[in-house]
Amino acid sequence: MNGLLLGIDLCDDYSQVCCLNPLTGGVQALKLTEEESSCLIPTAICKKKTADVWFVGEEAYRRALLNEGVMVDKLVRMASKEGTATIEGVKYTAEDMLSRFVSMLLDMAARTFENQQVDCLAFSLQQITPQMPDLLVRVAERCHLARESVRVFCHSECFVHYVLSQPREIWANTVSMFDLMDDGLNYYEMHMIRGRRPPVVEASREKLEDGFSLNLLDNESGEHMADTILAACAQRMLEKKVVSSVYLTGKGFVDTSWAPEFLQKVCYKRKVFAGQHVFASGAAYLAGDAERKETAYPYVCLGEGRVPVSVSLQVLYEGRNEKLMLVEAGTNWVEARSSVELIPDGTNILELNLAWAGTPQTRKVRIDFSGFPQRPNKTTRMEVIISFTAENQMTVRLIDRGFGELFPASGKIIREDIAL
Amino acid sequence: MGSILACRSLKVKEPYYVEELGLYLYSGEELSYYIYHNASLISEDFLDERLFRFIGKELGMENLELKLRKWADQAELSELLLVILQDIHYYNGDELFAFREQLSALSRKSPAMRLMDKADALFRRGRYSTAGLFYDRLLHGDEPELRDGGFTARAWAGRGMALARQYQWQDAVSCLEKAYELAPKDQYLKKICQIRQMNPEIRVGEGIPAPREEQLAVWKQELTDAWEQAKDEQKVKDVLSWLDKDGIRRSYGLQELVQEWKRDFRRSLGSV
Repeated sequence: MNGLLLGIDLCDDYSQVCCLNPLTGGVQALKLTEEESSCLIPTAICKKKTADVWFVGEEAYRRALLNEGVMVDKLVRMASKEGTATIEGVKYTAEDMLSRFVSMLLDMAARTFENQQVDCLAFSLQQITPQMPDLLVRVAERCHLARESVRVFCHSECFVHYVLSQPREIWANTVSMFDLMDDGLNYYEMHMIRGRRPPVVEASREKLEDGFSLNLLDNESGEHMADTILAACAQRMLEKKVVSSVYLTGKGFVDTSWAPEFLQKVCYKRKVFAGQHVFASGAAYLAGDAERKETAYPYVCLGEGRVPVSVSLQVLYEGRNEKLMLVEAGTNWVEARSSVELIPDGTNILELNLAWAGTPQTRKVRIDFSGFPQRPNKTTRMEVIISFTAENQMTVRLIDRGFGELFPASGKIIREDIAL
Repeated sequence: MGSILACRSLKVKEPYYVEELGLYLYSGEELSYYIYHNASLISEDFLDERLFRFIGKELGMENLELKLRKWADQAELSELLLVILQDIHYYNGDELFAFREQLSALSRKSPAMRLMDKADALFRRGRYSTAGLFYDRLLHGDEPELRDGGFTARAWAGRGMALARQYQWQDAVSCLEKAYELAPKDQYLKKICQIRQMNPEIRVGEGIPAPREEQLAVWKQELTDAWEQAKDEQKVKDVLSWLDKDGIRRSYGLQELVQEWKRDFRRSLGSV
């Protein structure tokens, strides 16, 4: 393991890059200047007029203000909608521009951390839409990274893994986080359910105060109003909970002097941390974990980004009746893909057992495959592929693989989408 | 209530070639199926180095390979076939019991009967040329069963049908005539008539009587029905589906189909 272990938090307004040092276990943020806020890189790209020269971040804004180039921002949203932008008569897809943006971040990281090689790159997104994982893999491939070295996580997962990488007393009880960005205020919470083997970590995210905007902080009265709103939110979210620590992150908390009332509420008998790279650091920790033989986080993580159910089926393997686990609850939905080959014996129904983690709830899903070609019993090999398009949206595909040359495959596919 | 078998996930790099059937086997399950349904085709030389390597290296069943190597010269073929089926676990206890019965019945048969079974099995598997060779070997042997007209007639009929499947109509009719002369059964006469119906130029020997009118009408109708049924065959559907496509794809698709049929035909002749 000689390359970088990077986490990139890609948001519509700002992005951040963190690198994990596997020897010390510490994370270092990519800073463009010595200022604290300089680790927040605006997710914008600017093309210099009449030249194939591109700028990212603050430099992109500066060049656009100087009328030296054409700037495009909100790259993540544009990419998730498969949008395009036309610059000087040339049409660029959002994927093109995001690839350039990520490529330039990787160049900066290579210079800062003095290493050209990337062993694992973990992206952190506020929300993962179904098309984003594939798109980010393509983006990484265009940056000359192997697809196996790319991971995609949501903010909740990165928050959880950032916290779990801190000393244990910080997450002895509930951990809360307020994330204040241009697009509003998000509240994250995680807690450990003890007494289970393996222990279960539950995390959640809630969007608070839809109308809340950082523009409020432009004047003193606005700051006061924002402080009052946040204090009310803190009161609501933290009351009657044993909260060990509170994190404050996002552009809105680069400076906290405007929020005395809010700070008074959150700081009461709790550890409070204000910082800017929780998600990117969490992603970097996850990138490091992906390279380990054994995970450093032996927990079942439930919540946003994680599959809530275990999916199994009863099979005969080498003459024994066994439970074949296809997907474990708590797996990141992007990576929760499994494939197995089965031979039905006297049945046209595949019965999947779903078991919700942390609850006694179970459900059986029966998929009829009588539409496959009729053959003698036990001469149809069927590939079962399970994948997810969101943490609560499972897709099961049954593919007729025939039985070698004895009974050639038809390739027929039966697909079932299951809402969890 | 059925069940679901989980397959071994090992991908076979070098499949096992079954010469008798002209096809490759890619898994332990396919090997089991072949053994179970073609016991009559399997002889002592089946347990050779090629099979041991396939089981040990490709299927990853080193223990089974070692067992077979150790017992190959000591145990009977039928016992070793059962060992293979047991270790692969494709068949359950009841099915293995039935297979044991099948092997036992097979072992009680005379060499001529076994040869006939083998030829019939090859015919059922579409290996018409090889099947024809086995019927031939049977007919040119001196097995006591050949003194039984019925048995010899079956062999001639088998040979005739194998030739018919290779479009050698005149030779096929000659064999069927010999079968009819030895055992004047309607089923042989029917085949002769139906071949003639498809190929009016075929000559029939003087010793073969003309069928009764009502008989002929029924057989003709059967053939007509078979033609009608054939329209529902996948091969016909494949052709029709390509005919619906545009010129370039139609031409490509039909060429592919013809190539596939040629391969099937060559396989039936035993030349893959």
